This record gives sequence, structure tokens and C-alpha cells, in this order.
Amino acid sequence: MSGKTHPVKDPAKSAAFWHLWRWPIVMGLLSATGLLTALVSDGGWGDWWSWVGLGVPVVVMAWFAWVPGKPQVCRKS
Amino acid sequence: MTTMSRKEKAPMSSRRIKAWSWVHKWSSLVCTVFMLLLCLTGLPLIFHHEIGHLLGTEVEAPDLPRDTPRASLDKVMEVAQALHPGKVPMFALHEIDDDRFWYVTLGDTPLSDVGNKTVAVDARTAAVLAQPRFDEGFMYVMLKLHVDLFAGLAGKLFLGFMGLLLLVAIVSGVVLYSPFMRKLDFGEVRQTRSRAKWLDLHNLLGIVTLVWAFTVGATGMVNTWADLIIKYWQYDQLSALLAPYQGQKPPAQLASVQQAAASATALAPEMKMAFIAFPGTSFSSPHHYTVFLRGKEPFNSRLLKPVLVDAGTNVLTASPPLPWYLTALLVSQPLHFGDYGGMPMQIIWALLDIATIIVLGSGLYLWLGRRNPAKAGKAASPGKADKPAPAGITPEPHAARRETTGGAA
Repeated sequence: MSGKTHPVKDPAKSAAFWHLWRWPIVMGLLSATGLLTALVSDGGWGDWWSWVGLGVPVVVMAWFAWVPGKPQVCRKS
Repeated sequence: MTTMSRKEKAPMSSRRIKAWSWVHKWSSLVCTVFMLLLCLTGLPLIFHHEIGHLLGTEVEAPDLPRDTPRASLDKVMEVAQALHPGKVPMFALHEIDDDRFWYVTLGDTPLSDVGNKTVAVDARTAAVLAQPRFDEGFMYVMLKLHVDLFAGLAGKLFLGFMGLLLLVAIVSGVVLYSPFMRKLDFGEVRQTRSRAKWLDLHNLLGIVTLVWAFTVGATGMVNTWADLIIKYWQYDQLSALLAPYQGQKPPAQLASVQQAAASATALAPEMKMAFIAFPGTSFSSPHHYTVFLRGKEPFNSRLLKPVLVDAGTNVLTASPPLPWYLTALLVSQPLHFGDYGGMPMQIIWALLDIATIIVLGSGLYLWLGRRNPAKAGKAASPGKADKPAPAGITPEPHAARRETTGGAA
């Protein structure tokens, strides 16, 4: 966009951006394609992809919510 | 240059975080209770066909050979009306995936809201299959709570406004994701303190369900405007077509609805029947049968083509193309219901719904904890009850500053 005014991109900033947003963007793209493909297909690949696209985010949530190694004992009240 | 502008923007960013936090807090606080209600009542509605099947309230048409001739619609209406003498016909419709029977809706007037009767009539034999009650039972209560809180149009519009607040909460939540998650890896859920854990879960589930929740929220909001959109369609598209009927009384004797349906389907043989709106109903005019046809392909089966047929003479009046706002409404419905990708999609829809409930609940928990710092501190780590705001669960303004300028540049 404005490459001329900022000829040198700060690599640290860019790395930080991708560190933060890479997986949310992947999750968003998966969900979006999952929502759309089933709309234009009937029982075929579109349905299959919608199950993958919307299912992977569900699995990811479950994984991080329950499966992570728990180094510290969770002190539940 | 870059350093300068970064420095100039620095205090602004900190203020920006505060402003977005304020927006996030209040937009979610106002809508959270209603969103919890919508998520909970929506859960059984995802499976309404399956639940209806289990409860035996789902209409099941008998299997007959595919080439069984279809009964005349005039006969179907006659059979239905014989069960409820004195009521007038409002609609005759097919389920989207089952044209073996008609749902016939009858009411005291074409526009009546209460006391309507539905009769399911076999489309081949004109036998009465069932007289389903859509105004009682568990699913009815769920539906009404979900759609309008038993408060009609006002309830719908109110819930639509709550939906708008949800969208604001989602957008502001995404903006706040970066300052809060700056120091953490994606999916990291700190197990040290109860509050930190719930904050991390809130952020994780919130960001992962983002696109789905925004889609379901936005399409739900659009659905609350359905009544108004249809009213506008009448005004926008039908008033011109009705000009020649100015000063005429609606036909006293209705012409054959079977013929009306036949001339409509002849106009677009590549389409199939969705429903027929009888004269005077909200989907028609006082002078017409409006036959709504739908496409046969998955991508156009949700899109309707209205065909207006004079209800007195059976002359084909017009087939105005579907305006964009009705297209938007029709496309937004499956995206809200999650009923277009088979049972696996319904299950995923339910799981995403539950994830959203956790996002709402954890948000509420975090806010309550902040309101009662003593209590929250006790819950988080006994013995440190005096610590008001545990470190590590506040945003990193410095990091956020870099992020926001990075995003803006």
C-alpha cells in the first residue's frame, strides 16, 4: 500500500502480528468457507468441507480447553 | 519518521484500548442475559425436526410410487377447510425437502395472528395426515422465547437490537484480543489463577467462534426484520401492480387455486412449488394468489420467485423479480438455522452454540469478579483476598500500542 513511505518494514512487528493473528485468521477462514460451501452444495463435497471447516475450530477449542499439559495444579475454588 | 509517528500515537492507543474496553463491556453487559436465553432456546431449535420426530409431532407422509398423480389443490383446500368451517385460507406450503404433503394454514381473517389452524394434507391422495398444533408444547415455548419473547413485533425488534449489541461486542472483542493476548501463545490457557484461566478461555473461544458467532448474530438480526421486510416488499413491489385494481372489491368467489398454481409453474417449469399465499395475506394482495416457486438446485432452492395470479379470473398478472432485500432475508435464514449441511452440521452448530454460551458466561464471570475484587481474589487464590486486580489479566498497553500502530500503518 504505502511501501514508499515505509521502505523498511519492521520485521519484529510483522512477526508479532503473525504470531498473534495467524491462527485466528486460519480459524476464521475455515469457518467462513465451511459456512458457505454447504450453502451451494447438496450432500456432496460442500457438506463435507463444511463439517471440516466448522468442525476443526470446535476441536481446536476443545483441545486447548481440556488437553493442554497442566504444569500447575489448577486451584479451583 | 516511523518512530516519530509511533510516539505520537502512543497515548492515543492507550486511550483507544480504554474506549474499546468500555464499548465491549457495555455492549456485552446489556445483551448478555438475552444472548444466553437465545443460545439456550436455540439449542433445541437446531434439532426441531428430530425432536418433532421423537415426540411424534412431525408429519409423515406415506410412501407412494413416485409417479402417483397429485391431488388437485382445490380438493386439498376443500378437505382442509371442511375441518374448520368459517375459517379462510391463508397459505398452502410444502416443506423445502418434502413435497408429498401440504401444510394448509387457515385463519379467521387472512391476516390473523391467533387461532390459526394448520392441517397437513397428503398432496397425492388429499387425505388429512395430521392437524399439528404449532401453538403449544415445549418447542413452541422455545421458539417464541427465541423469536419474540411472546411480545410480537416489538419483541422481535428488541431481540434484533440485542443482536446488534452482540455484533458490537464481537467487533470490540476482536479489537481487544491483541492487547490481551500479546504475551500469550494462541490457545494458551493459564492454569495459575481462576480469573486468568477464564479470561484466556473467553479470549480463545471468542476468537475461534468469531466468524460463526458473527454470522449467526447478523443473520438472526436480519431475521427479526422479516415482517417489516415483507411489508416493505408489498409496498415497494405490489402497489404498482395493484394500481389497475384501484376501487375494485376483492373477488367474492375465488377462482381455482389449482389453475393458478398450474399457470405459475408453467411460467417457470425449471422451478418447483414452495408455497401459495392466498388473497389478502401478508405475502399477497387482496386480489391475487401469489405462488412462490423455488429453484431445484441447492444454491437456488432458498430463493423464491413470486408469481401473481388474479384470484378472480386466474389471469397471470406478473412475476416481479425478487428484490435484493428479500434475497438477503432468504439467504440469511439457513445461515442462522444451521439446517443446510445435514446432521453433522447440526451437531457442530450445537457445539459452537455451547462455546458461545461459555464465552458469554465467562465474560459475565470476569465482570462480576471485577465488581467484587475481594470475592474474586478469594476465589482465585485464597489468602490474597486483598489483591484487587490480579496482575496478568489486564491488557498490555505498550504492546497494544505497537499493535494498533502496526495495524494502522
